[in-house]
Amino acid sequence: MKKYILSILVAWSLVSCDKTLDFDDEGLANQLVLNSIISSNKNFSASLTKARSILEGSRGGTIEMPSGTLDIYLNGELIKNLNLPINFLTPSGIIPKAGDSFRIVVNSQGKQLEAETTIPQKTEVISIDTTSAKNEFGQWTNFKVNIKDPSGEDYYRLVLTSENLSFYTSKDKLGNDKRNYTLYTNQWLFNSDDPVFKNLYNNFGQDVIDAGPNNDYKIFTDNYFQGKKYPLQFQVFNGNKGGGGYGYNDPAKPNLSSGTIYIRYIIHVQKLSKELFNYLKYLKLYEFYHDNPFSEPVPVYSNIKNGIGIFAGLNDDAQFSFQKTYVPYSMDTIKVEENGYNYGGGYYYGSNNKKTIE
Amino acid sequence: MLKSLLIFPFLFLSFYTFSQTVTVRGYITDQANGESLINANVYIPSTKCGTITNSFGFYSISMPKGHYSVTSSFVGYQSKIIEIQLNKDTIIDFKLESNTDIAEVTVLGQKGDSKLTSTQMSKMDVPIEMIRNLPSFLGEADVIKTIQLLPGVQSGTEGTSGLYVRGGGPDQNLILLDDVPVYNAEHLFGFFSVFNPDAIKSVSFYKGGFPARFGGRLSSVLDIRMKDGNEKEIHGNFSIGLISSKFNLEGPLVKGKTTFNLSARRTYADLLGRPIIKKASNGTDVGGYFFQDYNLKLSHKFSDRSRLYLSAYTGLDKAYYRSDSKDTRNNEQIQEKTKFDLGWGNVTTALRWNYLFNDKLFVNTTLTYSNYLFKVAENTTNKNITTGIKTNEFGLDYRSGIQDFAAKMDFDYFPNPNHRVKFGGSVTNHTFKPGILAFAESGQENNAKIDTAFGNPNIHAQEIYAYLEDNIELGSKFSVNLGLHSSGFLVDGKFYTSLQPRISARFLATDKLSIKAAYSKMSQNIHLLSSSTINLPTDLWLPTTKRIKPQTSHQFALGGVYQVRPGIDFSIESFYKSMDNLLEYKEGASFVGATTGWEDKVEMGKGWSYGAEFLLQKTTGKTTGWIGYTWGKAERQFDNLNFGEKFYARYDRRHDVSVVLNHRFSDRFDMGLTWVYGTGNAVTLPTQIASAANISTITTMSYPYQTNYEYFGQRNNYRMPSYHRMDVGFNFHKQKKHGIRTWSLGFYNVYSRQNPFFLMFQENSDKEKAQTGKDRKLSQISLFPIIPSISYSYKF
Repeated sequence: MKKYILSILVAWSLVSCDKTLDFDDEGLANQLVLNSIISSNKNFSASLTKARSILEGSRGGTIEMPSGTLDIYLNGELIKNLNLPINFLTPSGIIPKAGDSFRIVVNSQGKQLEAETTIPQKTEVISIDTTSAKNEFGQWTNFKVNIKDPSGEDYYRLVLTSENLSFYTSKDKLGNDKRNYTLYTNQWLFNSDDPVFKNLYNNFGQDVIDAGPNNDYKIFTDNYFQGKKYPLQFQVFNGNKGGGGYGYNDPAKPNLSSGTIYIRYIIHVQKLSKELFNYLKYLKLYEFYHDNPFSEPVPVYSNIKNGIGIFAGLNDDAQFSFQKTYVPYSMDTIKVEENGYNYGGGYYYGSNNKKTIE
Repeated sequence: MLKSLLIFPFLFLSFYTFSQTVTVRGYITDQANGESLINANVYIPSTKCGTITNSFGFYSISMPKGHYSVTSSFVGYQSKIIEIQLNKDTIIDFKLESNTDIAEVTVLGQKGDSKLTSTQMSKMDVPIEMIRNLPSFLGEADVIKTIQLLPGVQSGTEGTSGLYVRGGGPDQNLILLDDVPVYNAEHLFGFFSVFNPDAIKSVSFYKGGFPARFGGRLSSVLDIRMKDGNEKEIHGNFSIGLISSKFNLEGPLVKGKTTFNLSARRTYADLLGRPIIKKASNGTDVGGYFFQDYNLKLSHKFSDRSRLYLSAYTGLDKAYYRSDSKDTRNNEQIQEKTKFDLGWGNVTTALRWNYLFNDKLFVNTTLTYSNYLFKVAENTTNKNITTGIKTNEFGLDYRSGIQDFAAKMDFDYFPNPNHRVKFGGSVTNHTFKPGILAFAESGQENNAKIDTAFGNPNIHAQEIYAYLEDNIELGSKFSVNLGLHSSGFLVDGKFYTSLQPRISARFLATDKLSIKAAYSKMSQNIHLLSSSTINLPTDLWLPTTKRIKPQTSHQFALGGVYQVRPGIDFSIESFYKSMDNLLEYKEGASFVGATTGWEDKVEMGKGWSYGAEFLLQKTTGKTTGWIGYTWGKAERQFDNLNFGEKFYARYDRRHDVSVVLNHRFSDRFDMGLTWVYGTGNAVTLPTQIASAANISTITTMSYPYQTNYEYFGQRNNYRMPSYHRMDVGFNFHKQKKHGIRTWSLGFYNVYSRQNPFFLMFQENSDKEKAQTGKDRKLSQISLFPIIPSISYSYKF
């Protein structure tokens, strides 16, 4: 008897301290995800997907697009009814304007999701000053963009893009060389020591260990200059242009088989709705911290009632071009095709302004 | 507030209406060893008046001249009745005889003060014998783990000593050892507490209805008193357990005048492991971990009116590593010596002087010192023995902690049987040490010499308080304790003040049923910066600042006590507590890293908790213990956390059950049993994956932007599996020639329940993926299966 009791005690004490729990992952993955970021003077679009099991891993799994209806209200009036499924490429034919207030209502899978947002007014840019500088890394352009902040809370984002015209050579049916022209947009990295960017995240102490994420979305509030003028300062590395091996052509060598012939840099001083600011702020925090076991959990912001996701407006009307390089041909004489490239590395990413120019 | 201020002068005026009274005063002590008995009762049945002894065993009661029976009683002791003709002020010192089985003894004088009749609510006295006899983790009897078994107290994570009282945080508990705050009451990350039961006389725990004499924390007061020492003869005990050994020695230094009590405890895993480590490293390395505690108390009686007490405690946790290796390079002998120490510990000291001004006025003057220090030190030296030149030296030293010096005076005034007045005040000088890192490097090899220090300078703050409380008997049915605690905190040129009214009331509905209510406002000027998941020795006490305001709370409690029969009480208490200026880490912030800019790491918000506690307690007879049940809810709301939405506190626990039993079968054998059940802790666990909106961005890391994120709804959205555990312990006693030896056998987690310590997602193996179709699984990590323990002790 004693032997049995001893055996049981030993067996118990050796029981593993790690066990798999019964977890109703499918049952818990019950939320609908509605994402719609609408911009002034751009087509209204939205996507509705279903949340997936947490056990599928953060990047895996199949995205389910549920059926249903999407009602779009502009300033309180129903202006559009779309049938689901939809995704972010679904255009609605609605072009939002500054000051428009939108409400969307989704009915799907027995749930009614609702959200509201307003397209902010255009950022008031008073002046733009540029100076050139050079350091051991190369040539820089220093920007001082003077903006006038209206009264009340305002949220901004600074984006640097370039419009690129490139070409490649192919053979036509007769075997002759044919130049194909493509217009696409890149987004660029820029540097800034302006406190409006720094203070968003790097506020968990000055220790290196405590440093927060980079403000990659380059968003900021008007906390430091509410209702006043503010000189927003940043630097662009001129060496960026044509980076990644797609350098613009030297006019002296017009016989290359491929290359970039046109780059126009555009600075966007976007005005964001509060919802979009919160979404971007917390999305970045989440990305930075969610794998850190010692960090407090970071929720991603959502303003979707009865669901997850974001419905938010932005005004992207305040744009200005600061540099245009090499246009060797008359735009009237070339045919530009839609670009399908997506560049995942290097200094640029994305191709979100696809155009076909005849 | 204004009303209570106006009431006090009238109450004092009323004292002088009893001019024809005489006073009986004295001490109530244990007959066997002379230890004073705290909160013992003195009761005069004919007048239905009574009082209780103070923290030093002193009482005073006034009554008209006449003939009286005066009864003295205390739980666990035989009552004593003295018949006396009172014509003048008289001293009666009661010496009560301990009786561990007083079920057969008629208990008289229960109305003097008991759980039923006391104005105080939300308080529990836990007999030290109960703490000793209950089963415990690895056989180490633990005061705080016994407190965790009380209704309204949550224990935090598995095995640790954190106290979460009525929805409060672990920093909101005032832990006093002989009136000195203990800032870190934990050994080995909380698996053991610092209090050695051998050195302790009494444990009182308040979770609401706080008397005005206490302040500085929001949620609880744990008032621990060390033993004075046997005033008659030398006694002691020692024990040898699985992880530690301890001894206690007490006795008179000068008979009837001066006593001492000395206790020591040390773990010895490092000593046992040292030869193994040394052998494994060919004699070059030594390392290990231990903790130790030393308690000393001296008391001296100058006269019946004057006594002096000196209490001291020092405890230490230490992990250490030493290496001394020699190597030959290029025909030269090189020596490398490394020394690493990681340690933390408290030192507390109290010097107290009791003086009896007159029969009605008792004063205790206390000087205290408390120091908590966390320290990491490393030193590496490389030396060329052949040439005698020190080639390189590297040193690092980090220290953080808190140090207090305080002086306080407490007065007990017994103007008449219907009033028990306490008043006093305190001044404390805090020195907060948020962490200084000293770094030095020198030597020939790199031609470098660095000697620098960085971190935060010490912060000095001064705290004062004054209090006044009066326990008033308004007839035989109604009593009230009115109090006011006023505090001030000076830091960084800013002076925070707080007026904290306290009121408790009791209505004796029948001889067996009393209804009680209490209100307390509390304020806390210091904050503990710690992780939300586990308490660590690196946790930092930091002061209220210009930006970080003092925490405050309002607590209301309503309840009743029903005396089922003498020695068995059933009580119900409901409470509501609101708290402001609570601190939580910001989203994404962590306790890792230096404390520079700590104010930027935290958010301030509010919290509230409410619940009901049920307790059936038996304090006499062969079987003692309690059954407790708590229904509670604790929530938080921070403007900048969880998007301003309220969320459950981490230790919000809907149901909490504890069964604590001790049964003495005979003088030779007794056993203890505890069983606890609690709703699973609330944790933040993502439950689904959502697609992010398509937003272009670029990052310095040059990777594609996030397209999915894990969604958890809100903070603390998920409940871990429920927690339950049973511990049993058996004590076998035998009378030997010079004393009693005891073998204690215990089983922690007797049915080996795998209780959750934390949850995590883990990748499935290929086989598991094939079986489940999922990439991951949710795993629960548990700490302790069944853990047997055995110890031997000898009491002489």
